[in-house]
Amino acid sequence: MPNLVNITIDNKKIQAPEGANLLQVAKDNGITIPHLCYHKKLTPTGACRLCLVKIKDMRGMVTSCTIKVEEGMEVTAFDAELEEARKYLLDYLLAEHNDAYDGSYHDEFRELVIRYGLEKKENRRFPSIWKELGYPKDESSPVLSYDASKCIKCFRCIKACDEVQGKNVLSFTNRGITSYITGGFEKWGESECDGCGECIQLCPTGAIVEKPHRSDINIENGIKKVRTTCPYCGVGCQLELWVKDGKIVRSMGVEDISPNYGRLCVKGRFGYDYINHSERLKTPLIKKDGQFVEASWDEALDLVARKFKETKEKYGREALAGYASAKTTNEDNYLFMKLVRMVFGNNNVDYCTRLCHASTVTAMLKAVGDGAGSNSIEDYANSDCMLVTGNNMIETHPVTATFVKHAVQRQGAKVIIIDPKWTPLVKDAYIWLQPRLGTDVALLNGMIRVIISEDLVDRDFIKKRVDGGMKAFEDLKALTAKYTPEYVEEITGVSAKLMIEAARVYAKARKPLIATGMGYSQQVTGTHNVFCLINMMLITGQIGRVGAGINPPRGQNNVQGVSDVGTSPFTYPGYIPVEDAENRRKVAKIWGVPFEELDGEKGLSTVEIMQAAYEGKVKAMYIMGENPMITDPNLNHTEEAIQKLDFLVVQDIFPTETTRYADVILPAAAFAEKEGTFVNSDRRVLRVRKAVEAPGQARQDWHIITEIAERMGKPLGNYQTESDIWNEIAQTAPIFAGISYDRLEHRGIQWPCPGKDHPGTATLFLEKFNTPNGLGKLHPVDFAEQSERADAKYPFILNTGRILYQYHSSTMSRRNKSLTDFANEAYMLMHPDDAAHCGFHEGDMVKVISRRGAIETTVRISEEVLQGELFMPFHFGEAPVNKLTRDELDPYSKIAPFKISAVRMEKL
Amino acid sequence: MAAVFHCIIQIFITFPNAKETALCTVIPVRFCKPNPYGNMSTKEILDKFEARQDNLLMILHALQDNHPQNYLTEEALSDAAKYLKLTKSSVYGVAKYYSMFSLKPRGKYIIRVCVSPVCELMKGKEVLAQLEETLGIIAGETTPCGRFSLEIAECLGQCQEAPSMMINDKVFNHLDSKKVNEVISKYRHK
Ligand code: SF4
Ligand code: SF4
Ligand code: FES
Ligand code: FES
Repeated sequence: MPNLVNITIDNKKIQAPEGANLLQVAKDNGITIPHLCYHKKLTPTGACRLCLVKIKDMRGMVTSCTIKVEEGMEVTAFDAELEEARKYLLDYLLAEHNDAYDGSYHDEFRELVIRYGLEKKENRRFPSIWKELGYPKDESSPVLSYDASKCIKCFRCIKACDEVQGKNVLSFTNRGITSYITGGFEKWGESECDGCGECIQLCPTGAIVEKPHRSDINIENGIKKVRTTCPYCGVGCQLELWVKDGKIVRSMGVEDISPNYGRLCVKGRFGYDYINHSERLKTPLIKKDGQFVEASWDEALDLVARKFKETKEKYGREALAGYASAKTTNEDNYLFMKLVRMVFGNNNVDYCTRLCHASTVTAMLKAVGDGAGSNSIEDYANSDCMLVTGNNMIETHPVTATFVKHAVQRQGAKVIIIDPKWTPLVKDAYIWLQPRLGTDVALLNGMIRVIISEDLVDRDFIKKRVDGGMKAFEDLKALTAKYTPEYVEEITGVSAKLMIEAARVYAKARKPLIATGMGYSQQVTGTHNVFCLINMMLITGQIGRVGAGINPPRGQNNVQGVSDVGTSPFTYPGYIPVEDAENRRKVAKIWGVPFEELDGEKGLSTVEIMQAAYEGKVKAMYIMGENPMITDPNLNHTEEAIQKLDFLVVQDIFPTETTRYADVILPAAAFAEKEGTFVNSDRRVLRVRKAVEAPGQARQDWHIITEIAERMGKPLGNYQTESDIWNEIAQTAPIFAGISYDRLEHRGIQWPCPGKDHPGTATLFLEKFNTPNGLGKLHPVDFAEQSERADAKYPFILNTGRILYQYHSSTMSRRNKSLTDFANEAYMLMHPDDAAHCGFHEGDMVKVISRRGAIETTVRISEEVLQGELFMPFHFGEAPVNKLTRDELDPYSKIAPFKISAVRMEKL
Repeated sequence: MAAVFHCIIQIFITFPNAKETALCTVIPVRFCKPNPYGNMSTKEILDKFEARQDNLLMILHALQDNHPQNYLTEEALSDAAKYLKLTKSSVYGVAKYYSMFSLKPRGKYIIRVCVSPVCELMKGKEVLAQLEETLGIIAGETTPCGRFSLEIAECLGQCQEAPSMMINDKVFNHLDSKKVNEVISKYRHK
């Protein structure tokens, strides 16, 4: 804590931390000194000079935004002379300024103009000259417009992009009075700008404004603002949705609040139009003679309940299964899980986590006892070394990436990237290791060997906190002995020198964080990859203190929460194993059902459910908000499986590739139409709030679920509001015990939060691990060749992934013009040498064929991939890359290897 | 081959106006000063410099000098940005800030007239006006034949002998109307 000093501002006595910004201190104490270029998120600029003050013993007037407070400072913020100077400066600025105002944004400049009585031209000292200066406009960006005639050259946008978002896309061009902001070569749309909108949010004058819905907005008139949580990724950014006439017209980042402190990415800021899209499902639909016909809710729900009941009676309870959804709330998923366990009577409930982080979670559960990230998102900003493995953070978790960039740009932290494909974070990286696809275990064993042979291990930590202590360590040492740098280089293609340096940097760091993503988890060896990471982390003692640990950023907004509330075939709420009879007894009591009715055997996981459907064992399915016909591996197989079902219910907000196969489609409310909670990647429970009404007859997911249960003769309980459901979750899951809606009003709380006065837990494992004996466990594993390799017939290895502008099966993201304007096409990345060898050119249409299926797409040539490897985003239904992937599973976590498929290509 | 090419262009250029206009705009000209980089590719030039951001100015100079029309193309700026891991706008901002860089094609001879205070006092503005009149272009433009570009410059460091101008890298001081005429007509036929 810095020292407190005593100062006075206009004779008011104020205490403030030594060295704090004077302008900010004044503001925090209710004295708002006029200012334009200062913003508390940015370093002071001192450009506008409006914040002038007088300080005793300093000469003349000084800009308060560039002054740090010191003991005894006596400040005059307002007197006639200062006010006159401000008025003069403002007047001067006005001369070069186009002061037209359309009411669609918050105009700080205009407010000052009004305050100083300058809105009328007669009151101004200087004639207006901006028209002669020939200021340009730049309309080339899909999402924003820049009008230089409104720009006051305050630097806020430049710094917003650079200091806050770490992108530095903007600069000044020209000199003096005619200077203005430029993105790229005065064509914003062709610059590196990715549309995050930080510059819009911080521009004080409306020089940079949003394009969408601009004409709908008048900020003084009929705008309702609702704070909620972003529906896209697992960062959980806090948004303020602006609603006009029942329609969302803008989305702003909420300042000052974790996890995003006002920052957003392009999806959070511009990806809301899907809510109001004409294709939303609005009435229940029942398939009759192969055609969907509209039905009443009663008709649809009765049919669903009757069919589920009949199936259960005819084939037994094992014939039913459900897919829950990482897009819906904890409350929805909790009741979905309750329906499956209590009404279906089995544990066949799972969701897409099996397709993304199941291997990470499995490995982490075994080794450290918790599958969730051990640290907070903010910790990245204070880290000195970040090991980013198979994680294209800038595109998949853009706001988390801003913290990483802050660490690099502000304090020289070192980022080590392990990824076979180039990602934008490479630009900020200290080392990029580019192993061949599927050789991660060898690479990490090599790094471990370096650490051991250079004696960078933490013996104390091993002795105190690792199961088996030095003996377990010796086993790991023996296993990794053969992974010499030369041997590893041969397998992985990674230069021994770089690998050694990476190992040293990680082992020696003070606050290293591992951020591991889909690239590591979505392999047949997914669990092994993460075991190796944890082995390295444990022997170096790089966990168990604030700022050190391992964090798998969650893909979807609520992947974390859905697991937390027990929507899993293996665990009840709070990660208590299904087999734990004690816990089942407790839950049975809370639910008011006989203990015997709760199945004590593990259920089927996502891909297993499909396989069971294929084999005719699962006969009826309830899918809520998932689109397995795009996201599951080996789609041709999934399709056959789904077709074999006797009865399929799909509940969603849009028709999808999957609803086509449904017998009944139930229209549901979207995130902006819901109350509830999500849990983000750093275990933070965050409120979701209703901003607009659901369209047509669409209903809340949890209403639909309770209706079905009721009609099946087993009501789930008497819930009036989402808060009632949450309270029951908190009862069943000890990690949530202390959390209730009233505590979430202002900010999220990180679990575990065992009691009402517990503040939540920012860092896991400080004292002990969550394993039964409290110790971390090493799992030495050997490198094994991938079962599917390139061969003469299928000479390329295909990798898949995401891009910034689209989201998953793109059901939501592709229904936003702002996002599709940025990127709307499937493609296949190929190394230039491979392209030359095959005779492919940029833009050629090709057919890509694997042992399982074939798709068509266009070629893009790029050095982002290694020779022999290809990359394709999986968002696009017209080129569904999962027709090519395998459903051969990681034996431990049942995850599918989306990242590695052997393919060949033919020119079309 | 290069030599032949060289001659052809030279011949056309010394021809009277009409033809000059037609041909010079088609065939780029550059032999006012030897190109130190001998028309290398952008990549070859970049490789001559260490990829350090403080080399930006040197790199931009080299790229501009290397271009037959004495300017920085968007491709060149993009390549430089990529090479130095800078964003496009930061390179663009620098290129636009310094008057010695041009983002538009320029003539064979770049006349830069000082308009800083000392020269202005010594009637530098008249020099500029005279040049604009004689060449038929205003500052910032290039003659249609591609022979001259006229630019204004900040202090050339010749204040003792103001007013001053430069033509490419040669300095001319103590300018008056007569001297300006002499110099220009010499360059017209050079
Ligand atoms: S929208 Fe974001 S990336 Fe684009 S210029 Fe503004 S701050 Fe930078
Ligand atoms: S565009 Fe806005 S934020 Fe940027 S310098 Fe101009 S006024 Fe400031
Ligand atoms: S706010 Fe201090 S100079 Fe602009
Ligand atoms: S003012 Fe012209 S050379 Fe210095």
